[in-house]
Amino acid sequence: MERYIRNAIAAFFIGVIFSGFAVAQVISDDIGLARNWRLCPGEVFEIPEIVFQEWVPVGCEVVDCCPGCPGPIDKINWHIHVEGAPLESLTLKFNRLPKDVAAGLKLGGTAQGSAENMLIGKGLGTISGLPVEIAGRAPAAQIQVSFDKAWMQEQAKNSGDAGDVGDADGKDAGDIIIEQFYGKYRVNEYKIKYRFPFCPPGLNDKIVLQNNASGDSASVLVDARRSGGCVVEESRRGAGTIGMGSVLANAGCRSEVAVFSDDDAMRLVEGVGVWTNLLGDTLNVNLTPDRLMAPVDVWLARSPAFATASGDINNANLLYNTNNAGIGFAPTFHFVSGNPAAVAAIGTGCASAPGLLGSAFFTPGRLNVYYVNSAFTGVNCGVSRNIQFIGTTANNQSLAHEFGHSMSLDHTNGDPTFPVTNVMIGGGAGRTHFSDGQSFRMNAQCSSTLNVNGVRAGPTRRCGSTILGNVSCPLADSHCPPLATDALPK
Amino acid sequence: MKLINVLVAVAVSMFGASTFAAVELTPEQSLEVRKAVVTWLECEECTDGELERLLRYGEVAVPTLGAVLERGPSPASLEKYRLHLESSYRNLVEYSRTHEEVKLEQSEDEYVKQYLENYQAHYAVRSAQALAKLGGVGARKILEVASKRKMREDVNAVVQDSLKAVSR
Repeated sequence: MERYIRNAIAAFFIGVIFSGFAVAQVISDDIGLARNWRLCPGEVFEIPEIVFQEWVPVGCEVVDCCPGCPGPIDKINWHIHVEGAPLESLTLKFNRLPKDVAAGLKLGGTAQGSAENMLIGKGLGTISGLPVEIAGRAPAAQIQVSFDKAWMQEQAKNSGDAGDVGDADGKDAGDIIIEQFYGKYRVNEYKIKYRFPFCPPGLNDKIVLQNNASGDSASVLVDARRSGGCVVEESRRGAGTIGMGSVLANAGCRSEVAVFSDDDAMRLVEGVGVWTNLLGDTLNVNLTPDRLMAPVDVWLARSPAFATASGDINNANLLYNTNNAGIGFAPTFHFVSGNPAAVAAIGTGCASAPGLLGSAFFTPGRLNVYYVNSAFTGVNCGVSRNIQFIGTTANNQSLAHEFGHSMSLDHTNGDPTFPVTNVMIGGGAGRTHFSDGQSFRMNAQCSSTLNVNGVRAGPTRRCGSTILGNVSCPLADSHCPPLATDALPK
Repeated sequence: MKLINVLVAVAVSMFGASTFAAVELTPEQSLEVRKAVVTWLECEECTDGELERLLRYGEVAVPTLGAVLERGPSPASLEKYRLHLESSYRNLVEYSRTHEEVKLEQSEDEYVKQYLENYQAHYAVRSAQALAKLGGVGARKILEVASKRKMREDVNAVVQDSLKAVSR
């Protein structure tokens, strides 16, 4: 009897808790991952298959699986959705599943085959009886997507001069959604979106990239005039010669080009004057100088931290360069953990930053990173965007994330146009991507430490979607690409 | 929302902390709590109201936070991060072949182990901090038990601080 009373009272209070803000509480429907490939005639089958392989662990997102659900939980079910015109099927290969467990899996819907090689057709496939743990580790499935080749050929044929906008109805995109359930409770989810925008137009007018240091497929954003009027942020990719179709004389339209390339600094060419109403115009863009290397003083106020700090800098260099940001980091390490005065002055976070500014443990005009003995991941300080602290529980992208703040970037949380893999999402341990809109801000925003510290000398802008820096430029040009602008694929 | 917390505190004081642990949530409610917990556990600077969002759930979030403090990330989340770290390290090795400024100071095993341990420590720290803010008998009990366990020095310091800060 007492149990019933207790449960009734608890149910009442839980109802009050959830009803209190149910309207304001929106379940996140973020894009998990985003994979894009441009669709051009004759190139359809050059897509490397490895691009479309991912791993999905089996099991719950939190360790007690689902708050307030009955346990204990040992088996869960997958609901796999294969949706959208470009997608044909999905292949799953599970690892670490014992033979008897694999044999006991029950398949439904469009799922067929075995745990070693399972095919999920278009629509909904289900798998029942997956274990959440095998010898202390979660099993995982390698997924590989297959595409509808007939659809691709048809789409490529139709690409014509459609530009980069893709299909307005979203028919150029497909989704893989894997929902993991314990009974009626969803306990984990995985989403990935594949998009195949139209191929850009041909080579009539063109941009020629010169001195492309690594010969990579650079990303190009173009403002210009076309037959339909002014266009902004048309995105292209190419290593050398990039076809633009027919670009017309400016006639009052803004005309500029921004180029992002591995191992080269961002090039912002303003007031482009080469375009005419005739075909055959060429804009040459010299990608010299190479990547801009921001000097960084790394203060190791805890020990051991050198290997960690060195690895964090390495990872920041890789992420910024391979995302075409054109920025690198050149560290100088200071081993000060044995110096009590240094450890005291450095402290454990941004509260120490005002005192650090005039001290011997801060180098003005460059990025300063402090590795401290306190349990947090990382933080960039408002008092000076040149100061960031890295704590003892940092992940392998924490430093890259803080450098993003130092160069004016804000969090991308809650912006549905960003996948959860963006480096500037406010948390998570699988962040690997910057958009071109972000790269533009890190380079051109006047308050970015790249400009404040004199690492970069090009034209600056006053962009939206940035954080406050120590420099403002109220009169600067505010024309910037939207934050999520991205000329995928690479 | 403060009124709700008061009401919940009254309910807990009358019927015990297990009151909330014993009651099933609907799938939708469970999903809401899970998302709030994970957002708090994963955030970097946590400047976007992540803790405030979690605290709205009051005692309902305590059992999950207690489980996280005791056991860390789920096996699936650990595996996801492990796979990411292995891939990151391979990318670094490949990148270092063409970029001489990248000198790897750790083996793949050391690299993966270090960040996995940090991930587990981060989860423990965040769950202890949230339990301290949530307060109540259940949260306090969980922190008391955790404070007696052997754990990393930085995590232990946070658990001890959380225990001092938690209200009954």
